[in-house]
Amino acid sequence: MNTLRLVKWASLAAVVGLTVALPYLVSSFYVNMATQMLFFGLFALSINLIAGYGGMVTLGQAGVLGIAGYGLGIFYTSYAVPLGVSALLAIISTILVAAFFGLLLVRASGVYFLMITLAQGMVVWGVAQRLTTLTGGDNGLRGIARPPFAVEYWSYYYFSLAVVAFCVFLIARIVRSPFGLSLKGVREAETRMAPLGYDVKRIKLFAFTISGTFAGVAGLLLAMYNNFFSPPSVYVKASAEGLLMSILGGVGTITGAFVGSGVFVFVTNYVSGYMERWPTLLGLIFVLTILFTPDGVVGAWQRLVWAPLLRRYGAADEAELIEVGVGGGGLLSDRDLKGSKSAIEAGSAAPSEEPSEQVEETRAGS
Amino acid sequence: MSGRQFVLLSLNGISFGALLFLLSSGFTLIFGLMRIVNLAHGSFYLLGGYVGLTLMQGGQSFWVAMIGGALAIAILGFVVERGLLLRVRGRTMPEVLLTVGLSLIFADLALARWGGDPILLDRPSQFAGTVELSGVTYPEFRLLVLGLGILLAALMWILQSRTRIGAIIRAGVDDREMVSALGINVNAVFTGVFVFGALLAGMTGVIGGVFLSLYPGADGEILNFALVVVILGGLGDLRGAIVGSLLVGLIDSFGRSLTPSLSYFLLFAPMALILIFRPRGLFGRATVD
Amino acid sequence: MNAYTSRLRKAHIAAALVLVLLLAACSAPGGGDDEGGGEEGPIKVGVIVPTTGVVAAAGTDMLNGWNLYWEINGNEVAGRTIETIHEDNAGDPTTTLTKARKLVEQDGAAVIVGTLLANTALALAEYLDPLDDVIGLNPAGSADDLSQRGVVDNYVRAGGWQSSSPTHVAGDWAYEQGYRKVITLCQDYAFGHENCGGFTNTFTDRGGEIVQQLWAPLGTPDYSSYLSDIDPASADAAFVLTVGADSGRFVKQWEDFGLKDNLPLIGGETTLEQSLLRAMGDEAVGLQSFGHYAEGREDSATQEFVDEYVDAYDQLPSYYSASTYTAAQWFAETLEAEDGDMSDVPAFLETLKGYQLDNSPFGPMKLDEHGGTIATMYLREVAKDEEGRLYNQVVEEYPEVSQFWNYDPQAFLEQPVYTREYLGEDWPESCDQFASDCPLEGE
Repeated sequence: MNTLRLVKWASLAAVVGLTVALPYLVSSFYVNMATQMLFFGLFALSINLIAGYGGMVTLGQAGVLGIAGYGLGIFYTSYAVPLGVSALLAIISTILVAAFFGLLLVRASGVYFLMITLAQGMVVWGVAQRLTTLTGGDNGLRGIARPPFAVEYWSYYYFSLAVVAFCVFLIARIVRSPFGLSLKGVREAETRMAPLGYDVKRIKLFAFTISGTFAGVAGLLLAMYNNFFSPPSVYVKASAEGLLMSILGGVGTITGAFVGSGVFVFVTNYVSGYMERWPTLLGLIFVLTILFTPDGVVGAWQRLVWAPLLRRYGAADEAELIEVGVGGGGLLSDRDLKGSKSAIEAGSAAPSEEPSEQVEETRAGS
Repeated sequence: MSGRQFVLLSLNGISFGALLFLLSSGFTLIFGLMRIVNLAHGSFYLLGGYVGLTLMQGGQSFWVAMIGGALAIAILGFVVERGLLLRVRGRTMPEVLLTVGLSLIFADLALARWGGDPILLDRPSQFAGTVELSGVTYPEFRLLVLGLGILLAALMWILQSRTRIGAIIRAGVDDREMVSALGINVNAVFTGVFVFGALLAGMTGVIGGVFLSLYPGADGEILNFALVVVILGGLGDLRGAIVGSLLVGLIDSFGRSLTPSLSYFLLFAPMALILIFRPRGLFGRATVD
Repeated sequence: MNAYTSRLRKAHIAAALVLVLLLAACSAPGGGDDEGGGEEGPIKVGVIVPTTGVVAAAGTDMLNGWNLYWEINGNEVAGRTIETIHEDNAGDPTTTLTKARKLVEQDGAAVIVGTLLANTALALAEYLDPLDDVIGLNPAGSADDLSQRGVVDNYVRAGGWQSSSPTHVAGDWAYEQGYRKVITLCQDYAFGHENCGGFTNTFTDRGGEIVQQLWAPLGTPDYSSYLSDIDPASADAAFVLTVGADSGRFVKQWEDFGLKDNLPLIGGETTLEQSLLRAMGDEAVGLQSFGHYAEGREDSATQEFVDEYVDAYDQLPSYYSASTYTAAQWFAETLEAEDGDMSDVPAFLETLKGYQLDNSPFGPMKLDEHGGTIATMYLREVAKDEEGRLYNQVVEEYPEVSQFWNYDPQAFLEQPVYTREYLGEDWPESCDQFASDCPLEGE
């Protein structure tokens, strides 16, 4: 058990070390790839938050991301508002729009939720495309600056790292908060939540708005990274790609979002230089993930590698926790229909990030 | 608006609506019965059109191309349904997402095989001319599409209301559990409906190749229209598909003419409203999910 | 371990992380990229054109044109090998940036060629602007402002054009033809606005009237709604600018709705360009349009290029093919003039911009002081050759057309770029704003 814990901490330290030292190790091309991986990961995580934890699958999240990207561009380039203030105004606009979208969504679930978000995304795209005086239409908005202290590729990497790390920290807190648990309750058994005294609509609205806010932060990072923002960034395809990253990595996990964005960025930046049919590859990865590892790369890793390891080293209860899939996978499996250990009943809706610690905390609490 | 213009816009809206009906009747049936939003339906349409193109380049007539496109996509639909969708049967999200992945693959492979040039298919020689309708010049082919739409609507009406298959499907839309409880092989019904929807999509692709032309991206464009039709009309409802198609065709036609810059919203705003206030669509009934 | 110590431990870790992050961010990492320019060795050229996505056909034409030049002339210039690396941007601005970064930072490209759609060209310009050691060649991105109000010094229109250049001529020509009332139908995005702006501006200068303005979004599945709005009796002619797949649908329906025989059509460049004519039929024959290229131009520079292209790719070359072919020629001849030395980038840029092509598939071509193309514009008519292929034959040539038309450049640049809201109908107000041939006095 201790060896295992040591391995875990050592690998975690290695990952952190590599992340921090990256600009000193590889060329600017790879650092830029890592930067993209960070903000696309945050975008995937924002989808994850409502899809993975709340069971609400969206195909319109890029539209929400776009409010921030366009907001920043419009305030900064058209009205010459200082960058920091523009970013703040852009985030506020995103929160307002996400809340408005959320109001239209609270009664929907499942496929209907998906279709309304699709329509919302299309509306944002339509505005971006048509309202040329404001958005520059098809040509997009040019001249969006990076913060003066983060202009270089490596300083922008550190800037993104700091912002994304902070957001991940917040998301991890949210997921573990009572609100996060009630959100899981909505996913696992929406109909059973109301009698228990939960206001399902309010939970959904709140979740969608929070998720939208983080998508907005990703949008700001994307716009500043490219110094540019244009309609394809808010198109349905971008939303689908975000969903793809989220599912590929593993819904309902935090690392999964970044694994997913890593694969996506690798295929679009690197593989595409050597393989003409890379969109097919992306599609194949998507289809195979859904068919064979609906809990994504991270889920598969935990099920197939981590859980057996835990079991061998005598931590059977933790292994079981993983095997019933407390962390994620509820979206793509039919576990909720069979009614296994429901999160609310068990009261241990631990995200799968750090299973060992979670269990201990739960024990300490009970 | 002049009388001539009104007649033209109406004819345009109705004939475009007929094309949309050809496509979305299958889409809505699949949606209604299987609860699958088949986001690869647009790809089926485009691939059907391209198969038709290959046949026509080989010297076949429009009619052969139309049947060939339909059959090819029916086979593809069978493979997709039996090979992939069956594996995730009953789990809504994986089904929908699987079709998203497939649409990415189909779009890219179609580009590899047929290239990126936009292609307009030749009209059948019997319907290549124009007719004069109360002072308005109008292409015959569009009237043919209108005729085909009416024919299909009639056929499906009879199928649904007069045959055993139709009864099973109607029952399936309302309550899937009940159908399987009656000892009917639900999987066979599902496959049948999915293949039928694919067949219609493939056929419509060839017609659409004449009507609108084929190019990368046509799959997504037509899918958006079909989505709006199904959402307006309601799931699995034949009446809904007819009314939805006509409505979308007319909104599109008049919208583009009256407020070009707002035409997009004219299409999506009613859809959003319907989703919020009548989430089951104009004609949707309460169903047992 | 209880919850409190756990939290404490996390706080420690977080603090340590922040510290490391700050330390790391304080010093710049080294590592210069190896550059493919300089004085000797191979020159790496990154070509960014869409070979997938909606504009894949035209993008492929661009790639073919580029490759054809090097196949014919050999890829060695002044002792240096030209290494081409193609990247696909799928017609998407963000992907364009990704690929540009890859080419410059990973592959060490010294020259970037591309791209097609105006929005992707603007994104590329945004990336190239701060780089002082990379040269961009812009053969097809025709956004007016790239040589007007948003010039990017190291992004050169080699073999390129401005959207409104052919239509300035078209507006003037329409009036000459005796047309006084014209309906315009343009694609509702920047390229369409600039095309319609050019036409509207010069046509109204002469005293013509735009009686109806129609805007069709890019990707309009069905043009019948717009066409039913057009009453042939209400106007003398129609100016139409469509792009890509829209063009095929438009031209077909123009005939279907009985307008081809009842209302003269003045086409924009992309409504009837070669890569689209390949898919059109008799409905296009006889239609006229204005462009900066005509594959039927009866001149050896064009015809030799056409013959070589047909041999290599078995189809007639579009302006996209000619654009990259010309850009390659432009670059190769500049490199020759500089004896293969690219080490002084500003000097190389100056030679590049000062270069004049006495002849090319487009005809003579050079740049003005703003970097705008001065070239021949053509009135073209679609015809059918012996093999049944459609092509644009030249009806009339307009040599040395400037991006500023006959206007005073300074006055012109004080106006905003053409948009839906500004089409130049009421401008210029006086002859001061003209450099030559003021039409306002004569009327």
